[in-house]
This record gives sequence, C-alpha cells and structure tokens, in this order.
Amino acid sequence: MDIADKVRGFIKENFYADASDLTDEASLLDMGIVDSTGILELVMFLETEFDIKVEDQEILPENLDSIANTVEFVKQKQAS
Amino acid sequence: MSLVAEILQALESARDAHQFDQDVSIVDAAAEAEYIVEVASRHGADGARERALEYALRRAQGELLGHVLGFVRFMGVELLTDKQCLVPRRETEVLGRAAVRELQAMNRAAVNVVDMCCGAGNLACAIASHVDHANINASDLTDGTVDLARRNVKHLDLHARVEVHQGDLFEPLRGRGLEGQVDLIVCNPPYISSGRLGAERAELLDNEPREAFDGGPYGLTIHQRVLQDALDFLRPGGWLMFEFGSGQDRQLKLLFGRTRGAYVDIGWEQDAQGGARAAIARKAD
Repeated sequence: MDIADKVRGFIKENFYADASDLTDEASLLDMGIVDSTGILELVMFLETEFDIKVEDQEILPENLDSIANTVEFVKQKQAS
Repeated sequence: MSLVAEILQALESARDAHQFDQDVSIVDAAAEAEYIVEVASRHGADGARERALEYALRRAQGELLGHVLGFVRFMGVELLTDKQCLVPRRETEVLGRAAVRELQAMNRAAVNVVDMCCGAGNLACAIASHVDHANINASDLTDGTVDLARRNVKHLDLHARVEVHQGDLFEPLRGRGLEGQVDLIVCNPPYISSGRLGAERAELLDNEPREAFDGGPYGLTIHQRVLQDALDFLRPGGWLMFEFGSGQDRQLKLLFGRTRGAYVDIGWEQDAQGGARAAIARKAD
C-alpha cells in the first residue's frame, strides 16, 4: 500500500469521509473533513505511520489539505 | 409598571421573536434590564426612561449589550468596551474564576500573572480586582485592543499593578525579568478556524474585529504557540490556563501530549452547561 492509500484509508476510517468525494486533490478543509477538531489526529497518524516528526509550524493547509499535498509532504520529510 | 419591568418586557419580547446568533443572544434578560436602567439613570432621572428605551430597542435588534451601553460587567467588574475589540463574553468568566481560585490557593505574598491576548484587559483587570497581591503583565497585538485595555486599567485605577504591552504574543514580555518567574498565565486566544469565520461564523465579523476570532487555518495556531512560549515564562509548577472553542478539547489533549511531559496536572474547567471551555495545566517541576 503506498502513502496515498494509507492516508486515504485513515481519513475514511476516522473522519467518516464519503469515499467517492475523496479525490487526491480534494481540499479536506473545504469538504469539512479535517478542521480544528481533527487535524492533530492526522498529524499523529503521519508521525507514527511514516516515522516522521511534524513541527507545529508545518501544520498548514499547504502541507496537509489534500491527499496529494500530504503525500508530497511525507515524502519531503522522509527524504530530509 | 417600573422602568426595569418595562425594559425587561421589551427584551423578553425581542428574545422570543428573534432567533439571535449565539453571541448576541439575550441569556439573562432580567440582569440586562437592570443594567440598562442603571446605566441610563447615571446622568440623572431626566431622560433616563428615553435612554433606557433606546438602549433596549438597540439590544432587541441584536446589538451586543456591551456596544449599546459602552460598558460590560465581567466577574463583577465594570469595563469599557468599543468596536475595536472583542466584547468580553460571560463564558470567559470560567477561565477568570479558575485563575482567581489557584492564585488564592498559592498562599504567596505576591503573585506574578500574565494575561496573554488580553483584548479589552478583562481578565487582567478582573484578576487584579479580586486578587490584591497580583501583579499583572497583559499583552495583545493590535492598537485597538491595547488602547482599550490601557483605558480599562486607568478606569479601574489598577495601573500600579497592571501593565499593558503591545506585540506578537510573548515578544514584548521578553527581557523584563519575567522569564521563569510567572506564577500563572491566562490566555483567551482567537480559536475559530479561518474557514469557519468565512462561512458559518461570518456574522461574528459584523461587529467585532477579525483578529479577535481568527485562530488560523485549523483554529489552533495561537494555542500551539502559547503552549510552547509559556514554558519560557512560567516558574516550575506555575499554571497555564486558556479558553478554547466548543469541541476542541480532544485536540488540546493531543497538543499537550506533543509537549512531551512539559505540562502536568492537565484539567478542564466547565461552563454552566457542563461543557469543557478552558484548559488548565502546570509546568512540570
């Protein structure tokens, strides 16, 4: 399973997202899936699952607001 | 019919006829009616009835009581208000009361307090009024809030014990000998996500400035920074207390968890409806 599949699986399971709407590019904020009551669950999942450390200042929509952004962010963190 | 009864009737009719937003709803019409009449009567009986009726009409149309009267009562202390700054909310008294309780329990001759994101200075002024051995440094970012907070300190004659600073969170407090010396920090930060402020909570911006509400993309930006920066200022065992939005308590547990043991004795203060509205925690020894 690649990074995108794992992230999508976590979001579907934990945020009750409708699978058909959850494209790689969909904004999780705009869809009301992840907001102030959910973003840290996603961060902690990424840290545990991919063995990375997300800094507070990296918890931003440009890093985490779609599956595509999140995959790119995880890859960058793993490479650094 | 007395003037208070007349005003009360007007407020109750308005409350029953309108579905006000939560933030302007008339929760305690009797208390508001009494306060309206008291303020309207301050300049003498002449015209008091007309002034009270005008205030009641504006309030009944959904204007915040603090804006109508130019005053608000917070923890029994009367504060000035204006449109450059958030009007202190009753739910924030949960935070203020917890702070007073812990400061009194410390049993110290003098206590150092910080009011971060002080807004109108309501927490700083109320704590100073209830704890006469408290010295308080308050801080906020915008000209409007700092100006109003300073006017409130003067209005209540608290300038010997309350100082208001301006800047980005803790920055204006650095280098003043406060590092590691603060007994308690209170903070009522903006905590509504930018997205919600542009949509279902947009009505908040009709009357009050965006900076009072906008907590960044996820509504947690200020909490995250305060949790980190407060550690530079608290003495070991000192308290950090802050308000948060309804439903954010789970996220805050995770935020505390991310500080890896820097805070202990993490607890929650509840409002009258039993909802968790403020977090309290001590810096580890």
